[in-house]
Amino acid sequence: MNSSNPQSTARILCVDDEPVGLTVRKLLLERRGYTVETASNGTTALDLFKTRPFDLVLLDFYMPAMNGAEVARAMRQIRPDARIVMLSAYVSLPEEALQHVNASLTKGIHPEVLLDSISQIISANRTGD
Amino acid sequence: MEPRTFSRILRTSLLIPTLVIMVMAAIVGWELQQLRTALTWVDRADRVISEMRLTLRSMVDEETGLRGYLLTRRDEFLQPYNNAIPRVETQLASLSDLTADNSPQQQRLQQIRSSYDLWMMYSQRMLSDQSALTASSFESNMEGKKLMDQIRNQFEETIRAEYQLRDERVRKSADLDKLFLGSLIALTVVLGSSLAFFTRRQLLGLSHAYDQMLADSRRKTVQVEEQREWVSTTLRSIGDAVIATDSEGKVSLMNAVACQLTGWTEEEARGKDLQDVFKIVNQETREAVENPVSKVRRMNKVVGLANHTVLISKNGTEYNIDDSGSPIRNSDGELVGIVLVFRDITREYQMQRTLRTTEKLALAGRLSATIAHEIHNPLDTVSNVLYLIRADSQGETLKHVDLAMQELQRVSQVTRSMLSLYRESKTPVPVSVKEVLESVLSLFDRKISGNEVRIAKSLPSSLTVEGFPAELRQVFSNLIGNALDAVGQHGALSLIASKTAAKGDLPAGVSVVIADNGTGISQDNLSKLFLPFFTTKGEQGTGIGLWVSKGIVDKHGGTIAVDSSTEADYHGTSFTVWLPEKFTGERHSPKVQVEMEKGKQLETA
Repeated sequence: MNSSNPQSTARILCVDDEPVGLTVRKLLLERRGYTVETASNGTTALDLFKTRPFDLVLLDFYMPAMNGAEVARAMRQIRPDARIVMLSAYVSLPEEALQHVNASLTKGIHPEVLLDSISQIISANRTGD
Repeated sequence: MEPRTFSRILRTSLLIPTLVIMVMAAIVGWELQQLRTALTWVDRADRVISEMRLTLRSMVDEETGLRGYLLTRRDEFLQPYNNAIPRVETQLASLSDLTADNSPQQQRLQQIRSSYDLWMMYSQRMLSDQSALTASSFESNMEGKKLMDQIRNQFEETIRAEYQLRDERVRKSADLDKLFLGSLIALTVVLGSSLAFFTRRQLLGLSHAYDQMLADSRRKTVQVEEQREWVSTTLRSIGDAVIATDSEGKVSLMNAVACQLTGWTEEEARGKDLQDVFKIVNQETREAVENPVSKVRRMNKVVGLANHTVLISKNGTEYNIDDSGSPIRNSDGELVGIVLVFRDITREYQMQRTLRTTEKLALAGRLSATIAHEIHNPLDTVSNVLYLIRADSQGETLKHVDLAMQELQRVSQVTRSMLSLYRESKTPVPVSVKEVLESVLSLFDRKISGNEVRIAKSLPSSLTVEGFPAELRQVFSNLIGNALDAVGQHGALSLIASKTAAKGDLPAGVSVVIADNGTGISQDNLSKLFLPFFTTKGEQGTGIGLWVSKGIVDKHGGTIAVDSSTEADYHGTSFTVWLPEKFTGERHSPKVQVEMEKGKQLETA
């Protein structure tokens, strides 16, 4: 429905240490028309984030070395208006972990719920811009 | 004082006076003997004197007779003379015998004898000379007279000597007598007074010893009494329960704690068999535990009780106890009793159980985190893959993919519900009552459909309260779980949530009624329902579910109330949880409301 609107050109950075999950999620998002870049850990993600602009970052929480909350905080320090969605295997994350994200979703939810949330956050930002 | 010393004193007190009296008797006896001997000698002197006088008379008789005969020449005048001759001989012999011990007297007697012999010769001559002339001649008369005078003189002298001797002897005996009397008096005084002194000393010693013994025994009695009092007070003050028995296992002492735990008073229990008063069973098997008395006797040392021992008091209350039994031995090492020390460890035991439950919960928390990670990640991937496949599918395949996605969503929902039980949040958040109840119900899906339980729901989605979702889930999970346990198969459950307006002190809130048509809860149990570790489910129940639930509701500033009926016509239980819309924190004295509203039948669809 939104395939022709400006959103389809939106760039998304997808971060997850699970390679299979990351690949499939990239496919899902690309199918929806997004330009997707991936990173398998926090450091790589931050490097990409510094060099290129992204409309949205989809972050896994539990990752080795640097968890999603830490990555989110670092990104907001670079760009305070960064749009970040936390996608975690855990049902509930502590409040502190969600301080620097726009939304939090649980892995395993229906893919449409995920896509709708992403679309809403990007368009809300676009209209607010 | 020792009995040996006592008998020694007694012995000397008897022996010494006896010895003294014997010595005195010996002395007196000896002195008496001396006196008697002295008197015998006086007596002999008397006899000598009288014998001498008799002898002299006999001789004078001879002379008289002779003179008469010489003058008259008549034979009858000669008769005394003739009669006296043998008598004189006998008397002289007797005198010689009597004075045998006295040589001067013997000599004198010898002289008398000689003079007498001379006289006798004279008398014979006179008798043989028949001439009267001669006989009557002056010369011859003078000769006889001279001889006789000499004899008389000699006798006088001898008698005088004997008198002197007698006087001496009398004096000697008198001296002896005096000495005897004096010594007797002296002895009596000396010995008597020393005996009196000695006896007094002995008696004083004895009386002193007796006093000391009395004081000793009094002090010992006081000591024993004090010691007994001390032991008794100590035993009674001990925080642990103490029961002492004799060697037969009959109760001889119980302290207050023991009375409280066993439910027996000390008076009732005294003399009873220990196993009647101290009833212990194994908590799990309910089998009687070996009587500690026989165990101590068998092992002959301090023994402890096995774990999970429960004491059943007189009124049926049960206590988890920790116990040890020790033998009481006398100085010879014989077993004279057993002392049992035990204490109520019910609280510790339950704390341990709670701790174990908490540990289980913590373990479950860690486990759930792992499960979340290991299930949600592949689940997410599979879900995405199916979604991608779905976009390229049509017809039958599309249907199949939809079915697969549907089932996958079910898995996702169940895992999320289960895992969210352990979620922890630090600040209250708005919670949808409907969501919470639905997610809890989804956990019991299998049980509900398996038991064919009918569920009636009235859960408006608009109702929210501020709180901790995981904790509220736990509350409703406990209540719904209990209700499902209560109804068993083919039962009915109703869940009704409704808004309550602010009224007086009470702010606006949401009330949730969870009702079942189970057998109901007895009035007796109803009052204990929210106490920790109270359970009607036996080993299946932890007894903390409702207690924890009440704690959570209190923490949210809400109330929890129960209403139950066990009547045959209308039976069942309903719990009403009221929660304020805005999180207010714990209210003061949130009391559990337990009301019995008979006649209000539970309605379930």
